Amino acid sequence: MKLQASVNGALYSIETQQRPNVDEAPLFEVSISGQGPPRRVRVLSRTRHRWTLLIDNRVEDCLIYDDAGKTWVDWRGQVYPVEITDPRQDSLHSALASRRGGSGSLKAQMPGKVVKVLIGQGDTVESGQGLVIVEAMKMQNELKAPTSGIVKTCRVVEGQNVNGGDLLFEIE
Amino acid sequence: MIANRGEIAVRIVRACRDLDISPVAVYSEADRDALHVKLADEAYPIGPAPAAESYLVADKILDAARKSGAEALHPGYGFLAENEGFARACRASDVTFIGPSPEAIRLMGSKVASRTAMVEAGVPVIPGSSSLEDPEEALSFCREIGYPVMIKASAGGGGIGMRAVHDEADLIPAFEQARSQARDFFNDGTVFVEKCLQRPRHIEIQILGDRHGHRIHLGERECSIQRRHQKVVEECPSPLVDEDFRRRLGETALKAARAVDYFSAGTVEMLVDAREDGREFYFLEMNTRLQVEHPVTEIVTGVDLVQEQIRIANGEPLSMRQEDVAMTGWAIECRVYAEDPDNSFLPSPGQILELFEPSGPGIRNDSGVYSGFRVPVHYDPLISKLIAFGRDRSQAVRRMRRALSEYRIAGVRTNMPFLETLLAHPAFQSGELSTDFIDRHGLLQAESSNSDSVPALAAAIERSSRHQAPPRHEAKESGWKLSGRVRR
Repeated sequence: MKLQASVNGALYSIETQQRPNVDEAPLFEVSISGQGPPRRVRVLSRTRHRWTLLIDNRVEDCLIYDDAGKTWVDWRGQVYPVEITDPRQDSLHSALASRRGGSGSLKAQMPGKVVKVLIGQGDTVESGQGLVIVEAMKMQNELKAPTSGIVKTCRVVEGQNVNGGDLLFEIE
Repeated sequence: MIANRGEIAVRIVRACRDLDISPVAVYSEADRDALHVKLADEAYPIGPAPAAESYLVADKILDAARKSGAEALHPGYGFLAENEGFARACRASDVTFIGPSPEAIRLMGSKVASRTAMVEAGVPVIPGSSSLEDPEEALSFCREIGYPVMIKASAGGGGIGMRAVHDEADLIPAFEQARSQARDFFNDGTVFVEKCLQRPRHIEIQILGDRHGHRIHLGERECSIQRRHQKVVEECPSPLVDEDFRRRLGETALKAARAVDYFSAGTVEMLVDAREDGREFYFLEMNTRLQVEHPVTEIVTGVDLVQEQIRIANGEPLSMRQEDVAMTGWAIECRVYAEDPDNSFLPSPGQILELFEPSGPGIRNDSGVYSGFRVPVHYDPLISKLIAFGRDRSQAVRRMRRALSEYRIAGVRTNMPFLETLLAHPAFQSGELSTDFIDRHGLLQAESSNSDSVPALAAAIERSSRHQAPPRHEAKESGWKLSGRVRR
């Protein structure tokens, strides 16, 4: 299978080929473009989310699960969001993404109270820019724009109480 | 009856079981599948998810207590634990409140009133004001004690309503903001001002008292590692405290407890100013309840604090005297939270898809969750308290780091990578703690991104395997799948 994987700004072109099992453990040959000859990776065991891989006799014990359109890999004490693109699935994926409302919306993650709205409808914002300050869970939190664009709708005012999952802003 | 939820409710259930007492749980709609409910003998629903409609509603809790016939009630920490009215209501309903008297709760619950009581009792307090009515009063007071100062809400807690001010120019706006925040959060806009210590350390003393007038202290805990005034790592004993200093701190804490006729478990929190020319310590506040970080004291002293609370409430005398209290070894606690370190540590509730808990030598994990549990959005996102202990501090630190590497949680983000960075820091390992530790060492700065290809490779293998039957106990793969006739 040919895939593209994007992690922390690094892009990898990966080709995996399944080989006949060794000791009943699935065996893959994995080529990462620009990283030399293919590596042999055995899937020693897995539970639903815990994958124990053997890469050249080195144990790589990872947790892997999907969330919010990304594949999360918990490896050696850090959690990495990996975006996998399967070139064959591209058009299907983007169709699903646009139906879901895409990443251009900011929702409240938990119940809280809007302390201060930092931008207005029609404003241009950059990805990562603070949009609103919400007080929740004993703290004041500045919620940030998930993408760059223009604020299409602003659905909150100062002093308003919000619930987890409430749509706060739409950006396009 | 256990008037709480999460890990502390599980803790109290365990203390009950160890004493052959039948534990009764209450649960909100969001906690129907909580661990503390599974471990109880009986369970009573107390309303919808929001705490204000369930765990904070005294009437509903007491109603459940009456229905169950519970003789005593443990309030845990937070929620109604330091609510004087609730303690009185328990008394009126003939349910023994496992905690101190309502009067002690009231007196120590007001930062302003407790400061006054401490001054009268001869307990050193941080130079500070009583309640301040207007900005001008605050301004002239701060001129006297000098900057930097800390503005605090009298009814406050958990770091809310606290504001440090370094310059006179910032005082009045900070004062107004603190007042309005205090009104919003605690329905009480009373604020006061304290001198800000330069490099303080947060050291607290555990107190136990019975209803027969005996009181002892169980040594100190250091809780200097805090983020936004919330404790993250606590330890017992403190690297700063020797036998002599412990004795002085302990005697002062007992003085404070005596001043309010304290019984049950309580904690006297102090700030220690560790300067070149000696150590000064000041009363910060007294928490009239069991603290979150009580396990580190339990491990080092061998005393089961929750059990003691229950026995004390039952009218029994303390099971030990001051001279019987010994501290052996070292314990460190890390609070594991469902938080997103890449998004300002915002709570990251959600479903725990799989969970692998650490154990082995010197490890204790006080948890309220399990594999498959959905961490609710409505409450503090504490997953568990991970405690590591050993014969000395360095063994405790090593075991904690080992335990953190074994502790795996799939499905929610946690602060564990942050805890690992903290525990690995040389200043932490050498015990150079202070309340500004996290900021001072820039630990909140994002980790430099690791460019190793293993995460990408692992994700690719997982994706390539999706058409396969997963775990080994399922049916052997058929020839169809092996020959590549696969579709997503």
